[in-house]
Amino acid sequence: MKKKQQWTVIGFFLLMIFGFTAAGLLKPDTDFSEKENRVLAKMPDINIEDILSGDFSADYETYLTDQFFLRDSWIGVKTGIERLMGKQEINDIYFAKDGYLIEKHTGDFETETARRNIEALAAFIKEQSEKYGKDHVRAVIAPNAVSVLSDRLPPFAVSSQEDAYLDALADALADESFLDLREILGEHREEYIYYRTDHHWTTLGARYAYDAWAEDTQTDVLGAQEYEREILTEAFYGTVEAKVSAPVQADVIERWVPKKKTAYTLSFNHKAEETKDNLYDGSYLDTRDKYAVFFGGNQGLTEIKTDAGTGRRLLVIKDSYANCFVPFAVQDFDEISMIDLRYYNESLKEYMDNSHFSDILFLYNASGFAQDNAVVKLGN
Amino acid sequence: MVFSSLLFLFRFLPIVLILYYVAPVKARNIILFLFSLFFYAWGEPKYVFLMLCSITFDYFAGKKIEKNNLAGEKKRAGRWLAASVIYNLSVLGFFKYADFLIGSVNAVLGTSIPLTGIPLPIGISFFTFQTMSYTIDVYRGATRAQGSWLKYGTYVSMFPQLIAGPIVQYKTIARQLEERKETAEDFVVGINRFMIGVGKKVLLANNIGVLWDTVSSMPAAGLPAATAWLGAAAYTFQIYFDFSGYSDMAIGLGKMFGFHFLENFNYPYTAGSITQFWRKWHISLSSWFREYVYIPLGGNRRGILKQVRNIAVVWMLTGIWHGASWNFVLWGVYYGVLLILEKFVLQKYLKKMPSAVQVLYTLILVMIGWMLFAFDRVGTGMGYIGSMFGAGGTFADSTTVYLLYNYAALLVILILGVTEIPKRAVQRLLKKTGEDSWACTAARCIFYGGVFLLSVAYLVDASYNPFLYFRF
Repeated sequence: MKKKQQWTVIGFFLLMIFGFTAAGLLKPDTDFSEKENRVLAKMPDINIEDILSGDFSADYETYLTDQFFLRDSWIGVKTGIERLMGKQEINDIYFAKDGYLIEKHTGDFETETARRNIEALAAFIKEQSEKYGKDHVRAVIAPNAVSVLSDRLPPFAVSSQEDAYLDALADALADESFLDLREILGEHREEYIYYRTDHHWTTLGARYAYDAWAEDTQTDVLGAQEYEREILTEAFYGTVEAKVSAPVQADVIERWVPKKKTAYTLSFNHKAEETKDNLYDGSYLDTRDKYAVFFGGNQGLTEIKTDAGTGRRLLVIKDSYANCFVPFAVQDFDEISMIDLRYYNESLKEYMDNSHFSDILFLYNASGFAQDNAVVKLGN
Repeated sequence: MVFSSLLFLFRFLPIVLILYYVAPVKARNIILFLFSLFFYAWGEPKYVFLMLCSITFDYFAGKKIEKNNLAGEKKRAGRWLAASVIYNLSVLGFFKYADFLIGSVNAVLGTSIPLTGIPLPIGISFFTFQTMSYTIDVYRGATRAQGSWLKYGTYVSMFPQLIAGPIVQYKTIARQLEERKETAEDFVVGINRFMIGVGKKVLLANNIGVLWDTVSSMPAAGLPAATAWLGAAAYTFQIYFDFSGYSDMAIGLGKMFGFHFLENFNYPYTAGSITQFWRKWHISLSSWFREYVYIPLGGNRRGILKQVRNIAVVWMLTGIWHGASWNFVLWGVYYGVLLILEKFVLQKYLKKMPSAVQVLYTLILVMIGWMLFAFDRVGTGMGYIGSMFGAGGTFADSTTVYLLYNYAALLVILILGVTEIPKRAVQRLLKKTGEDSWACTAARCIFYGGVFLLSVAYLVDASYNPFLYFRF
């Protein structure tokens, strides 16, 4: 190599190193990542104690990567190259048929928490069945896409331990208080019952579950033909897509509006002054977290009063899978309380004793249930 | 701090490059020294004082040894050498092996002496070996003692080789500490080596490491044989591209600052025997043991029995050097036995075999060795090796097929990557287009740019952690 060419290579290398450094320094810090749905790290405070303990170093590196310029695009580059290399899964997400991104849930079901939650749920359901009657208490642990849509997975991919876990749940709640949705959802697996880019089921999936639950508990409910389906957005990219930044088709969120309207009011966390008469918070349709259009996301306690006039009062202990499920119940129950144990820090027992519920529903998704540390609060 | 991080690439490296080259030649060692201390202190600030102690002690020991040597006081020089060796081995012994010894004593005697719980100082195995090579060589007269504490400190702490080698012997860079010439030519070679190293580590080693993580997280004893071999291959590739990538980065960075370190790897997976393998793998470690343990013990010059003993000692030590755990001892013994067998029995048969058979024989033994190395618990490692030979009861299942076609493209790249084929192909191309051509310069830049961009993508992704359940 001649001198000129040597300097060209050196110049190119320095340009990369210094260019990226400058780009990083010039980019203003971002507080929140919509895509990852989390607060990004800030520049850590400099003090002797943290420096000596090594905490400062660790925090600074987190800060550096969190604030790296064009963060999301780099993830897309990585996903692209791995797809090119023939990889069928990236960051524990399967690239499945029909544009589905399906979470693998590796290891979710084999933890101590997963095992303990089955015990806690079994004990809770047994106690409530004795109190409210067998037909009025159900545990519904919705299977995830990886289990129901297993025929869409890449060739030879093994679906997770989810089925074994649901079997264990069915065994532990053997007194018919466990509603296994695998069969009914399996029958509809060709339909749009799970989002392609998100970890939730669709409103349609929730409706099949609602019908199955109503039938199982012999509850008369307003039939599906009494609703009109309405599209809320056709540009939903969910949490699963966020993990891989892959070019995929957007999801559609819909709501089912009853043809004959039932009036209702709802309040969150005992705050009577914020009473609303809308289950849907449309402002979330302008954000990335569009699934939060249902009830404005998860709340510790949601209380709904309706003029359905059925004389039934429902308690739903739930995770976010219930958020598109409960709107169906508004037409069929006079009162509905939703409790999300992750954000509810009062005594569940006291709350139940002070209310007069006729029906109890425990509704979670399987992987969420297996990982949730708040399930033990059932004993509170 | 590690090289393959955004912190190193976009904070540390630019700053040290600017200051180093802006500074007058006289100040360059100081800059390297200070930045090396910072580099070391980044992860564990307290242990930097331990390293400074080692530097100071061996610096004075070196001076004393030389002074006594020159005065003909060989005995006194010997005492200073002994002091230095004892000091270094005690530091290493205390910080690296204390808990291992206590744990073993507890296990054997049923006692319950509490563990110290001291975290391992980064790179301690490397820098204690470097400082020992210095005092030993001064004693032997193989090198002059370093007159400047600063220069000696620069040698020991030099960040390119500080935390994962190569183990640079003082005598090989003694002159470069005094006077070195940083040239554009060296800098270009340095860029080349550094980028190759980054690619090996971030793009190849980390990726195939995912396969190893997948396989090793399954129960080792029940694995289908083909899955077990696939996992072993993944680890075999991972450890090579990881470690040799690190050495490439070290050598490349050294070049950027005008230092020439010796090579540490020479296509070890193309070796035709275990003996050859250890001449090609982590060369700076095997030559250290040969020079400072094997030969002083008498090497092969005092009869077969002594030679067998010497090989056994060296390989026990090599094993335990890699980590304070029994599986590393076993791994060392495994190689000791294989080397003795080759030396006295197998070599003559092996030589008559076609070279493909020789390489295959070596690779299979090396892969088994890595499985002893990979599992801290000897029982798990043995169970895994059992599965490789069918103890799992099945040959393959759908997971085997799934993993194989997911990683097929990467495996092909890795297989090519452990041979000299890519290097030869590039050299042939360079010859054709002419090294001086602009086309060749453009191709270089495209290659470096590509490796660089992809590596950044992987480094950013490693921290990417979408949070699913979030409320505020």
